[in-house]
Amino acid sequence: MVLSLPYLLRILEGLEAALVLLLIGMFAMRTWRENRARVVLRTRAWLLERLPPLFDGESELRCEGRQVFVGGALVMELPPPRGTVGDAVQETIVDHLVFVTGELRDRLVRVLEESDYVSTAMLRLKSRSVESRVKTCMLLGAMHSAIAVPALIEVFRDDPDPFVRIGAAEALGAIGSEVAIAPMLAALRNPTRWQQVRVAEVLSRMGMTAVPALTAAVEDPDIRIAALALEILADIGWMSDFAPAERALRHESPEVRARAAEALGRGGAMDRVAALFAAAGDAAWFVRVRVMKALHSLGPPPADFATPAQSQRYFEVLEAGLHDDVWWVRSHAAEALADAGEEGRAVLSRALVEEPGAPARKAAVAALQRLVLLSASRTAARVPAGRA
Amino acid sequence: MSDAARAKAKVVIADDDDDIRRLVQITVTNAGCDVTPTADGESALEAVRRVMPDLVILDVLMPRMDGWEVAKALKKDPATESIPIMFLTSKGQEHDVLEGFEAGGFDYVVKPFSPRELQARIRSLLAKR
Amino acid sequence: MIGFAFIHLSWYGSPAWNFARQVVLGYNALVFFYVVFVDLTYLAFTFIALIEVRRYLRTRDKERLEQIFRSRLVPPISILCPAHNEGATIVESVRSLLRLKYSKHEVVVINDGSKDNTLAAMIEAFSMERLDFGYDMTVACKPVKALYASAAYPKLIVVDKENGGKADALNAGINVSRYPLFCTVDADAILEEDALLHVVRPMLDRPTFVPITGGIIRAANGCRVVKGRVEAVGLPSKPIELFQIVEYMRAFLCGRTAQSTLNVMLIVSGAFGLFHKATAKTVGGYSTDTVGEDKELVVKIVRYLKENKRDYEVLFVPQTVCWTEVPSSWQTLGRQRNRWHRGMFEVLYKHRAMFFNRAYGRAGLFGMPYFLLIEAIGPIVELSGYILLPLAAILGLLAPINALIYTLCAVVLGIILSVSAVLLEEASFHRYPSWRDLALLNLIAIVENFGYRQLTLWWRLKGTWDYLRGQKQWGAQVRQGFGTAAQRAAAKAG
Repeated sequence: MVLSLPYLLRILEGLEAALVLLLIGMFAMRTWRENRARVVLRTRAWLLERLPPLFDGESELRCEGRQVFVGGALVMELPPPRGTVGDAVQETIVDHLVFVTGELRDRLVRVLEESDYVSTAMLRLKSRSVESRVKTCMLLGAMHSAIAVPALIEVFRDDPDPFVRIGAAEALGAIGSEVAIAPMLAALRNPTRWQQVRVAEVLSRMGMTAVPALTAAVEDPDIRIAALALEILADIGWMSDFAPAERALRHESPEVRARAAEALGRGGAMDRVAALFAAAGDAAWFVRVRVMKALHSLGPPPADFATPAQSQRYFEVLEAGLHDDVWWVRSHAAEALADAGEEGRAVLSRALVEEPGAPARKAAVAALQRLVLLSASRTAARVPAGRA
Repeated sequence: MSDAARAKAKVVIADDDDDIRRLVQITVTNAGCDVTPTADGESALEAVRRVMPDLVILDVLMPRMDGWEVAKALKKDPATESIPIMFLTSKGQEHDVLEGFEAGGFDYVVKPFSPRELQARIRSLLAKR
Repeated sequence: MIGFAFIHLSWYGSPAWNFARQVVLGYNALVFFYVVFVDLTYLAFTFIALIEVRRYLRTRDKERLEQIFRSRLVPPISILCPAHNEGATIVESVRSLLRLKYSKHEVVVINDGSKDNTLAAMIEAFSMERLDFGYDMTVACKPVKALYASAAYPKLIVVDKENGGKADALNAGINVSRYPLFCTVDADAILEEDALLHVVRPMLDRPTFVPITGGIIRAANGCRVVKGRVEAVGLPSKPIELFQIVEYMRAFLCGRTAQSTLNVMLIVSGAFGLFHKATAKTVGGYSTDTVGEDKELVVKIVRYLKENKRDYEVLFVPQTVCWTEVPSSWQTLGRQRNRWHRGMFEVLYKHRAMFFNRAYGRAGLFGMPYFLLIEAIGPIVELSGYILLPLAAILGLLAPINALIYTLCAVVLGIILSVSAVLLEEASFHRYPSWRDLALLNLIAIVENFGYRQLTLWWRLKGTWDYLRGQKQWGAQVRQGFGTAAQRAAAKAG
């Protein structure tokens, strides 16, 4: 039986041995870690001492292999890119790249390139482990080196693992290379929404670099791509032609319509305000919310720009929004009215005479109170109003 | 520049990230200033009151006391009221705090930043003295 | 020995004797297999967690977090912070919540009918003004008396409402909050400044729908806390607190991490959890008729998603997100455990339809049974083992020496589990940098198996008993807010 003595004794012995091994392992690990930490710290200190000459933008930087010269004088010879010491060097430089830009970033990247740190990392893109590939993508992105772009594009296109592909996209976005935009736009065609959003995020982070390619994508026959491109352009804050957005506002998919409304609002498309008015009666509530938001960010049409009838329509649409069935729509309409000057506040005041408890009245009260509070505090305080 | 202005300008820096503080310190030193680096809001405030610098550079997000609180405390005190303040801010905070910067009349630099640009901004701020 | 002799003489050889012999032997074997099974499960968890944590640490990096921080496309988060009689600490807690590193978040403090100066302190410190803006009443809660906002702190909203308990307060928070995600935080929890960035990451990174995420919670006792921030990690000196530190390592670092990897996680701590608001609203928010509302909401959401055939992942990020002061008196700790256990039974009973139901996927086939078989009835089985083993020895079925060695085996296995939790901590985060702390942690990992674990067993058993008794007067028992200070301490960190 299982509870017989010899059995039990043997189990107990085994367990005790395992426990002792665990304890030894733990303390060995601590010793090893402390040794490693010491090497990393020493390397880091060594490197930090030698970096300052690079920060001085005036003098010329020259690299010969791993030897770095500033203004003709040898500043340091980097250790080879492997082992604990190599990792520590790489990590220290990458840590700096997170918060520096401009010439200093270029200099640090050049040091990494010339001393083979980038090419050594690139070898790991071929690793069999998915994590290792993801991590390498992130590292290459953090290194900001243009040398890695072709390899990363290849990974972005061909890697079997979706996480690695996204990692490559992010890296390409971080490097900000124009060559990478075309394959990324192609990826927007990908059926999974998740990838679309992620790639869109990367593209919008690239900013102006991505604008020409995105403008072209607006004409894409696939309306989903066009709408996404529009949204990214609006996000970057650079949109020249609003006709595609207007078209997308009439698309059959409510998601595309919502996105188009958002793009028009963010892009500041004052001359397309009529299209927004039409969309304010959309069947999908979240499209209506976006329309109210867009109208809010556009503000009432200025007199020199719009006909009186158009201005009139602006307030009518918002007033209808104030009486919408959905709280979000009401709330955004009220906010828009509160910020639309005298006339807007007049519309809100009209809602105040409705019977207490009416949804429109509630929304109006909230918007007006917030307005009063804000104006009171703006005049009262000279200290910063925003909080970190 | 007058002779008085040529005397080394004093700058207090506060940032909790070691690397950033180091870089800012070197950059400001290269611009020809005397630097007092601190790692959190409380010690920054203490250092400003002790050193009476010509410029304070504050990170917005800091432990113990954030950049805003330090700025507020400095503006309240007549002795330190006139010291110009420059904020270091991360890109993500921009839209939230921009209004605050403008309301308070503060200068700011967005991370990631270029040391050269930072230097130029500091020089122009100090030249206004 | 006299009793043994008595039984021996009068019963020996009778049919009743033989029957008792069979029953005890059979039950002993059952308990034996049960204990082995449970221990192996925990060992497997530890092993899975080790792999998962290492994997997580390898792909975590500063740059990516910075990007999340900067991105305008990350979903904004509402932090819900229920407060009942927290006047002494609420202002400092809120300050640290406002300081969190995230691109867009709001802090909703729900004053749940406090009798102290909680509301007054908030109004005073943040120059708040009454501002009754509209909100959606989509989940039921007690009447809201007033809303307060501040122009100087646009991220802050205070809800003043009638007392209705923690779940009710959270429901009010869900109604008032504006953003698509909400994060529940205990008023006295100390958050890591990048906690939100870490827990929101799976929601962005995973291709499947992630309605809930959580993170590691640690005991703050012994740490140096300055202005709502942990500045130095250390160990407390009281044994009761030390025991809990190792226990939290076992529960969070090993247990939750492994459960999340296997996608069977059904618990997200009440002290810190991030939820997809629309989903939480669809299931009606928190239930007010249970003491385990945090656990219940998770199960409810999982159940709803499964019933609607949605793909989902409830994820746990092996990253410290918050620190909480754990009870430092035996009495409070006992009440806390009693409560947790009652809550677990309530949830299991309420959602009993999920058991071994293929329609609920892994949650039904593994998650729920795991909680029932291992977490919930574990104490009963283990205790019966403690009683029956000596009994078997008395009945002469088992040589006392066998019983002793068997007990020793169980204890050593327990020690191995505790020590591997410490090992996992050492191999991954090693937040306790001094050698002395490491030695102390190991010592505690060993010692907790002689007394402390048995004590928690006892509390859980009492919880089971209280649950079974309370079941008769279901609904009659009214919960009053967070209760006394002691109960409050017991309620947190669930």
